[in-house]
Amino acid sequence: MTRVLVVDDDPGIVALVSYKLGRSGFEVDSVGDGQAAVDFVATQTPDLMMLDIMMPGLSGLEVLERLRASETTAKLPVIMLTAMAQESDVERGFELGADDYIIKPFSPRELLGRVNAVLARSAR
Amino acid sequence: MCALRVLMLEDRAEDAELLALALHRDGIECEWTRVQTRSEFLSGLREGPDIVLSDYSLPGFNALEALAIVTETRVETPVIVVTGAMSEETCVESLRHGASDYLLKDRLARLGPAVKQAMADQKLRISRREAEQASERLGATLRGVVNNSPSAIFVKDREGRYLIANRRLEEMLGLPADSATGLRDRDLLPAPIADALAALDGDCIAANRPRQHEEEFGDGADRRSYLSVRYPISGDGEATDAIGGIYTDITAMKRIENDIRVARAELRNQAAHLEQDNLDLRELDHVKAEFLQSVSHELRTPLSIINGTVEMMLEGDFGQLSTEERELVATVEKAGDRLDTTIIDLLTVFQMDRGGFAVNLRPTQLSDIIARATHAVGPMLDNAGIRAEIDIPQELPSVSVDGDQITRVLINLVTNAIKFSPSDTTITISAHPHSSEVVVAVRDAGAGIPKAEQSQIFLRFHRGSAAVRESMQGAGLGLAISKEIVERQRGWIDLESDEHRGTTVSFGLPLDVDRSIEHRGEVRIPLSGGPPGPSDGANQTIRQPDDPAANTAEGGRP
Repeated sequence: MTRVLVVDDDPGIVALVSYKLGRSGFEVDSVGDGQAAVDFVATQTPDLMMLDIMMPGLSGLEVLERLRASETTAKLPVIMLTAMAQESDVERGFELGADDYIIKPFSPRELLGRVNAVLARSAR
Repeated sequence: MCALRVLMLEDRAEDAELLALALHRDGIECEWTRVQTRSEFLSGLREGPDIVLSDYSLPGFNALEALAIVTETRVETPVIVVTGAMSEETCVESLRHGASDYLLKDRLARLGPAVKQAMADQKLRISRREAEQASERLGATLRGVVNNSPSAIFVKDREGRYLIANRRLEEMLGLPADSATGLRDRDLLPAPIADALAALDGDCIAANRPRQHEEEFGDGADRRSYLSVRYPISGDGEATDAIGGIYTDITAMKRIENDIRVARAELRNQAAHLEQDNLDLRELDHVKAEFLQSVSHELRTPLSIINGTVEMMLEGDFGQLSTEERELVATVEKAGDRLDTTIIDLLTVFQMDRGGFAVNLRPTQLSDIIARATHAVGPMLDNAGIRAEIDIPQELPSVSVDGDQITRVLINLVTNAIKFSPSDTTITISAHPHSSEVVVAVRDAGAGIPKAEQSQIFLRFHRGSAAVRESMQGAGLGLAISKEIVERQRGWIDLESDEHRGTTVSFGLPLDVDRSIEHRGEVRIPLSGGPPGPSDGANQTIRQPDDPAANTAEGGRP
């Protein structure tokens, strides 16, 4: 089963995304901050990460930087999730190796589509 | 040579003849006149003779009296006393009374030389006097130059005594008129001032060349500034005999200089204030930018949860809904969409005011924009039971515009048209090239807008009476934002409305838009969007990257 890790400090977003992806047949784990995400991938290997940018403590961009620096997670597909939508952040995310980004408010249907598309791309 | 005119004071005619003869012998041609009384002498003298030959003693008159008359009348005619017998006393007396010479009648051989000598002496005396007068005149002129000069002028000797001090100088030093000459500064002025002047004088003498200073004299309001020049004066061109000085009043100049200095300082001060204001404004701008991000995050994250959950409910993710439930949830969805649109519009206005609303001009096909916009509003049209008709020619020239923003404008206009159109009517979207532009128009068959409202329609937060009457939602920003977007791309937007026939909103875009108008935004914040997602069903929505307005048509409908 395909495993997705949802990283967001907002429990509502986590619940919504988890439900939508869970219903679509994904195994969903979630953590509430950046450090927890880094800790999670140290022991486990999800197939994709939904990563919020604006979080207290370690930001999504910093998490992404660490993921790409580590051999085990260098290729982990990452979709950034942000309400901030500051272009420079989006650009920085792509520079750091993000695979896609979604800006809040988002359609769960669209989010599912993005997840599938990114997974299909990374499988090739 | 002219004959010498001789006046003879002589009582004896034969003696006069002898005198004339003696002169003739010495080669002196003369015209002579003999007089023997006081009155004859006076009138003879008035004729202006060159010389007088006077007998010492005459009946009723004598040489001394004649000499006195000559002196009194200030006639400078030389007088030679000629006498038969003369004592030493009379000689001395005669000379003392102004006689040029004297001689005895028995020594007439001396007469010629004596006359010649007297004439020569006379000539010399006249030229000397003329020289003296000339010198006097020059002196007076120089005194005038010095005394009437608007500059203060002085000459002091090596010991510091004033040789010349003109009136201006005495005024400057606060001294009475004609009080300085012969005295030194220390005799005239308080010690500190005198010492300061002595030091400056000494400096000039030691340097033996001109020295320039700025000095001030007078007290309080009478204090004035002077530019002084001191220069050494030397008779032989080497050692300094005296020192000259000229003071020019530069008070007015100094005042102007000071005014300029004050004005400059004020300008610098104002510049500093402006700089501070700028810093404050930049700080304010920074606060605004942070607020923008905060609003974006704090409002749109919960909205995301609401809209996402509603979408999932409508799609049956939580089980099939009854018709009643579905209608209720659809109302929530519309409310969420509207809230999102309002937030986006407010943030857009905010960004436009901050100058952070970027325009990216690219050659664009208007037919593509129309297709994107009609696709986005498709569900809304279906819901309202309104038809859309597209009226464009086969070939439309491409325009250099920001496609996403123009799409937003068009969606805005069509959405408005839908809101104000009764069901079962048609909205026409047209685009036609005219000389140098393409005109896009959205025409509805709605109720129209009253004339009085038409001029207000593009103002921010304006809501038409129909919108208020029908309790239609909206912040009244759509048309204001549309107008701004079009105008930032060198276009125009206009509205034509008839209360019974409907409304047409048109906008024109230039065919040859200059690419140089691209706005240089400091921070560019796309408000929503992302790359278009994959389509996964009939209720496909289109999201344009950086195009918040695309969300207007967000959400599927049954």
